[in-house]
Amino acid sequence: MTKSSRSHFRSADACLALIPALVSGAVVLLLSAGVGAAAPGTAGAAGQDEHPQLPQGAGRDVMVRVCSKCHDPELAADQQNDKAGWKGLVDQMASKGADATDAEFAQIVDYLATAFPPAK
Amino acid sequence: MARLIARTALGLVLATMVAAAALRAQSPGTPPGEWRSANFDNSANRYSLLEQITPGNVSQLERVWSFHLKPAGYTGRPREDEAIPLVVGGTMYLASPYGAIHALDATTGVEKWKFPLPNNEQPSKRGLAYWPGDGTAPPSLIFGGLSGGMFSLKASDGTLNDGFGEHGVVNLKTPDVMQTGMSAIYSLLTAPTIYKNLIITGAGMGEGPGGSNGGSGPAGDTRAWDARTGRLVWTFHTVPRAGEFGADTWQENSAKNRSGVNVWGYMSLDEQRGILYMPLGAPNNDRVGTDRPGNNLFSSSVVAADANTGKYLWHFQIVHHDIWDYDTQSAPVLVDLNRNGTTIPAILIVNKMGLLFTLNRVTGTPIIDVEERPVPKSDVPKEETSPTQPFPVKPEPLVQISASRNNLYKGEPQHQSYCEHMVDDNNMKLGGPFMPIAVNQYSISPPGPAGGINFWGASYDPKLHLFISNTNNMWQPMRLILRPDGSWVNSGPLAGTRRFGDAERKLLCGPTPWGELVAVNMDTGDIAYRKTLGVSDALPAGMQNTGRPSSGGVILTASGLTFVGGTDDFRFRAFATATGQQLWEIKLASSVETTPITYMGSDRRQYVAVVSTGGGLTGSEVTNDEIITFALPKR
Repeated sequence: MTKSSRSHFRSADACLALIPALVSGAVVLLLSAGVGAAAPGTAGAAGQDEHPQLPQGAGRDVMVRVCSKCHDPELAADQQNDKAGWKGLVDQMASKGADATDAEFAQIVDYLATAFPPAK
Repeated sequence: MARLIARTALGLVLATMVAAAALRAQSPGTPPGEWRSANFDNSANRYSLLEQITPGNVSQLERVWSFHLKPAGYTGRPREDEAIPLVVGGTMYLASPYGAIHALDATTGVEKWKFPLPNNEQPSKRGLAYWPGDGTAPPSLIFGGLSGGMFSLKASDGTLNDGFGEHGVVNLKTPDVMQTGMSAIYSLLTAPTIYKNLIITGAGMGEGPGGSNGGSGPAGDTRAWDARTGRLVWTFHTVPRAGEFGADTWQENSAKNRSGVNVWGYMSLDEQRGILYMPLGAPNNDRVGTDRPGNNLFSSSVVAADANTGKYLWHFQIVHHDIWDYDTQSAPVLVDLNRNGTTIPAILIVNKMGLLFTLNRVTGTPIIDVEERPVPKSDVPKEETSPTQPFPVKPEPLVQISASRNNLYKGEPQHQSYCEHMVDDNNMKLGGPFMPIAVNQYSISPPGPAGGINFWGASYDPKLHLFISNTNNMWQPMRLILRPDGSWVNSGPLAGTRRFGDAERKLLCGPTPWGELVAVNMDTGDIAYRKTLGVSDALPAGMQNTGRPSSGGVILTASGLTFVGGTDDFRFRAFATATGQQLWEIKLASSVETTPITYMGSDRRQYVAVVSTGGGLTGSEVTNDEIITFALPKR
């Protein structure tokens, strides 16, 4: 088996992105600014945190920036995974078009594994 | 309390179908040597009249040319492609996940032109559409960009049609659908449907996060646009507004700002009658319906509408108050069935639940009876699940629809033990069909959101009267937990995106077969055959014939062949449609996670083409970036 086999049976069906939506196929992927693209960010006009379900921590900003191009980043808050689980999921996102450097993907995995570990 | 909701007056034993009549379901005027739309034509039969490749010679198929999608100098991660190419007038058109539309000579593979999307954007991942023009505007290619644009290119040279929208692009993110704000995600995910001078689009907004406000977002409305100008022509509200039919199925004002209920797969269309068939998805949030009491029309339904006006004609809801994410995303298949000498215009509907419904496509009434059968109730507070769900009396379910502890994988001792421990150690609740997701406990109710037949849909052979499809028995544990804000969410290391199996070895834990090729005799409604589809290379010899999950559908030819990739075992295969006997197989550098096509080249050779990248629903590794063609050897 190849090393990448770890990600198998995690996700996907959809077009990209998401997390719960990966199971069904109804997902959206947006990869770049274009017509009507949403501008990812963490704060609204009034300075209010737009993603209160995402705890503060290293890598949060890059996670929001990369993942927001395709789906609501708070989807991550629905999930609980260990680091290997999150890496498998993020690898799938990359194959579906998530646009980031390897270093940024690693930051995202670290953030998610810290913010949303497996529950007891 | 089974309630018979419909009964055919003509009985279930059917007369022989007349082939000529059956062929009428296909769209008139589709050139037999081309592949003009994702599902061949608007009937979605995916039945090509080409006959050069036959059951007798298919074993001689050989690779002819291939084309790599990855551009020179690209250093990022490899990307999957689920797009279905088109072939029109000797040119193949393909959307690439590397941010371009390619036009290739369909006979040689030589590139004619390339359209790189602006701003490094990707085209919608599930293909593009061809509009033949109207004499004033040229033949054009229509596709979505994933940031919400809809592009129109001249098919001749790949330049933007300046008269379409703003310099060739229509912004689909209009205020009427962006009901909760313009910054939400919204795009066209699949090839739109073409009818006369209309481009008919579904909607893609994702399934939304869980949480107390997880159900709101962009509307899933279906819309039609003028193919010449990009002007909006009509809108169909997939969640009825106040005063519209079906509004009372959303109690407590729960339709307001409701998202989901969108066509994110493929539609079909009866061109002679001008009827559009929309397979619509579940509402957001698709695992928790506590904030949307009622049956929630038109979620997980097929809606028929006047294609010229968008006016509602009829609907059929496959899953009431969907909390399993079953959707109805594959294109309904238009067929003409013969019953006691009378030709009945029919429509065949399948979804992830793996049930096949056979309806009259003009009236929406079942041709094969449908029963409302009792199903389990949810024990989640305020979750008012429907007491019944619809089941056709024939055929039997195409896939496994229940799970039990004594019916898990059996075979290789190591894997069998893994599966038993997975269930026992996690106290998994097994049941089904339609068992609601359990609270604080992993539960499995097959087929689940990754099972059955997903957006790629089925095919139909009008000569053999056979419905044909690959199917998935790929289960998925789910678990509801209560968030601090009082909302419920499907979550946990074994929930969410995790399949029911050993992720390291790529082996599922439900009973085999994990994937099949299934045929249904539409004269009788009975299963014609079931063939295990796919092998597990990770298992020892003698145990590998497990079947494999797949994504990407079958195509059929008039010579009696079925072609299918899809399985995550890197194989592409051909079968005799009449019997399901495998006739040919080739192992590729990656899985084929999309539907193949076939067409006639300018050299008078019949080609079969597949996009082979890996990825898709199965999570197969992305190990290639090719479109590959096959044909018989030159004489």
